[in-house]
Amino acid sequence: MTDREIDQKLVERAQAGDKRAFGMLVAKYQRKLARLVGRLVRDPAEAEDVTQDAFIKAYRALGAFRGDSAFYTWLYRIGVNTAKNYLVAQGRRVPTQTAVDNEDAENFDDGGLLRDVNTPEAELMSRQIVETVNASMDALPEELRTAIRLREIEGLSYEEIATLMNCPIGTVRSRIFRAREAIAERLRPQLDVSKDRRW
Amino acid sequence: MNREHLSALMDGELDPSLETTVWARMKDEGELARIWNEYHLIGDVLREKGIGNIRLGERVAQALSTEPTVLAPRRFGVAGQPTRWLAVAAAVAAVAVSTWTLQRPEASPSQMVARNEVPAESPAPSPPAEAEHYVAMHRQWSPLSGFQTVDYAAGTVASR
Amino acid sequence: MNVQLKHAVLGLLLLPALVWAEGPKAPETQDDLLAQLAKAAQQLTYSGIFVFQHDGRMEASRVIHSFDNGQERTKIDTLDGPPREIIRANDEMRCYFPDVHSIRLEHGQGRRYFPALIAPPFQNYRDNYDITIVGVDRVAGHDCQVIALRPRDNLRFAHQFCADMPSNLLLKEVTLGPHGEPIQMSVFTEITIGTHADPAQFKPDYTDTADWHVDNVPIAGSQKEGSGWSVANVPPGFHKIIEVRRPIPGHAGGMTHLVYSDGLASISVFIEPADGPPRPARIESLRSSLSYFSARTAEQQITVVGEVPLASVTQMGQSVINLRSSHP
Repeated sequence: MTDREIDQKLVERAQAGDKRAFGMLVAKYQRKLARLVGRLVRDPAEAEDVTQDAFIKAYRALGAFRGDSAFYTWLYRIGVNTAKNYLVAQGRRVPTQTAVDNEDAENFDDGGLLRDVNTPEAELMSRQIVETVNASMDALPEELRTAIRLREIEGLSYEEIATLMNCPIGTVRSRIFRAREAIAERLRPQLDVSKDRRW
Repeated sequence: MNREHLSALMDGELDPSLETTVWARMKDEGELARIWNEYHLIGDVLREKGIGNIRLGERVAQALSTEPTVLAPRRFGVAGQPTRWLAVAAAVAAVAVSTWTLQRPEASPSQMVARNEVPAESPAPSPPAEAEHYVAMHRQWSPLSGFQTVDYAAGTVASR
Repeated sequence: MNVQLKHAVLGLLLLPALVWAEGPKAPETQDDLLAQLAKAAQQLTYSGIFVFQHDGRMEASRVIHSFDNGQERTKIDTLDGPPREIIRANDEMRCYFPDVHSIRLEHGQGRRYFPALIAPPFQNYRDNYDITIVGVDRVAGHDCQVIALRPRDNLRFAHQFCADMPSNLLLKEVTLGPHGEPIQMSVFTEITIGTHADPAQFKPDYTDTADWHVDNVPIAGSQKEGSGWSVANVPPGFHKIIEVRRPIPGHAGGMTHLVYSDGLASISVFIEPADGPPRPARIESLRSSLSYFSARTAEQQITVVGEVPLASVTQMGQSVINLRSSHP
């Protein structure tokens, strides 16, 4: 199942009335969409509002999503339009020279611009999370660290990783999972503040 | 529910025979959605994305909870499969082409020397400190590398 | 500025491209094209400024090159970072390190720098890359033809050249990553091609060097044979171009540095004595353009670095052998 097929599956389930499935798409794309919106709407608090608004609009329009394009492509357009409408409503200039008008730009990644435009509280929490993840990575056995790095940073398939690490695919699957669990284990105390607000 | 299956599913690497079970479990167990969120967060941090406000997802969830539930007619049957594969191929092709044409929105003067710009911010994390030492030695012998890195301690040529 | 130099500079400004006044023939084969690129970088007279961009950094250098009566001369000065000067006359190369008051003298080691990226034998490029002219572009005010070198396997990256028309001097090189994204680039920002260059221009900037340390690197091949270290499973098209020995304090054998090249990309393999238990391999991309492999066997630390995909450095690192001894 490709990444796009996974998204499609979640969309279908959301279209069938499963709100949690849409929540999983939000969980997956919130940071990417927030970065996009943050490039247009510079104020961090405003950008958060606009991002949330874009997700709600997407949810309301979900019945019209036909799967002709990838889910993120569709979400991306909604994000850009929501941000532009917001700026127009505020009587502010809509940036024209940015890459956001270009459909191709959804592949564009400006690695962490949002860090610079975060609210102080969010910034602190964000920094703590980054520190925890990095510290957990450092504490991993080398074979787990290499496996998750090859997957998440290099974007390699399990088969490619198996070849590089000279081990069976099942071992790759297990190493990546164990790495994720080990990192998540150390992250949970930071994330679990609001258990009652789960999906 | 086996979390390892969820991890593999996220990567598009789950054995197809297990997919139905995993999706069914996911529908029933809220715990899995939380783990899904955590794993995606870890991936974004490792790719050095700005992770923004960690509570944004929760805010959206709260806002969503007051939304009337969407119910759309099912559109995607087994019959639709071949078209979707074509669409995936087209999307992949589009990505391959588009990376050539991307313009960075705020190029620094140093990036403006030519059109095919080398990304200023790279996605990978800092290399291990010891790697720099080897990189410096390597660059001396690589015609593709600039020569600023020419190092005084060149070593001696043992054989060719 | 003395009178001679003034005339030389005027010459550079007023007499562009005279060398090619009769116009070169269009290349008929890939070999012709490659030969013309190699010949242009070696036999044209040119001067300009080029930058090397990688990992968000940019390093600029000034280059002057001449070819006169079979004598090839090059002078390169860095414009950013620590000052470095390279002066080459045929096979002799002097590197000036003014910050440490040192000069390194080398003979016949065949180091190449942009724009001299292509050198014979050309068979190697043809075997490993699909080479096509894909269009025209403009670099540093010069029209140039875009040449794509697409790898025939996934063990090396693709490259794009832009070669001046009609002189065929390389004006730009872009290395493309696995998804076609540019990962590093060398490009002229200004250049003058074709004219006479005054030998005085190739004099070193540093004249008061009487008390500088001069390190005379022995002529290649004059040393005793290599260490016996080799790589069993080299990606197709890569050949060892040199073995360098580097001293390590406290270790008689020192570090062995093997360099492999497919004509464009290079892979360095470092073998050094190591204590401690074996460690599993660490495999990763360093920033965007270099792949890195590091592992420890029972007695050796093996490190591989190259501007190639991860699979290539891993394949190399996992097959390091010693042909001479019982080392693994």
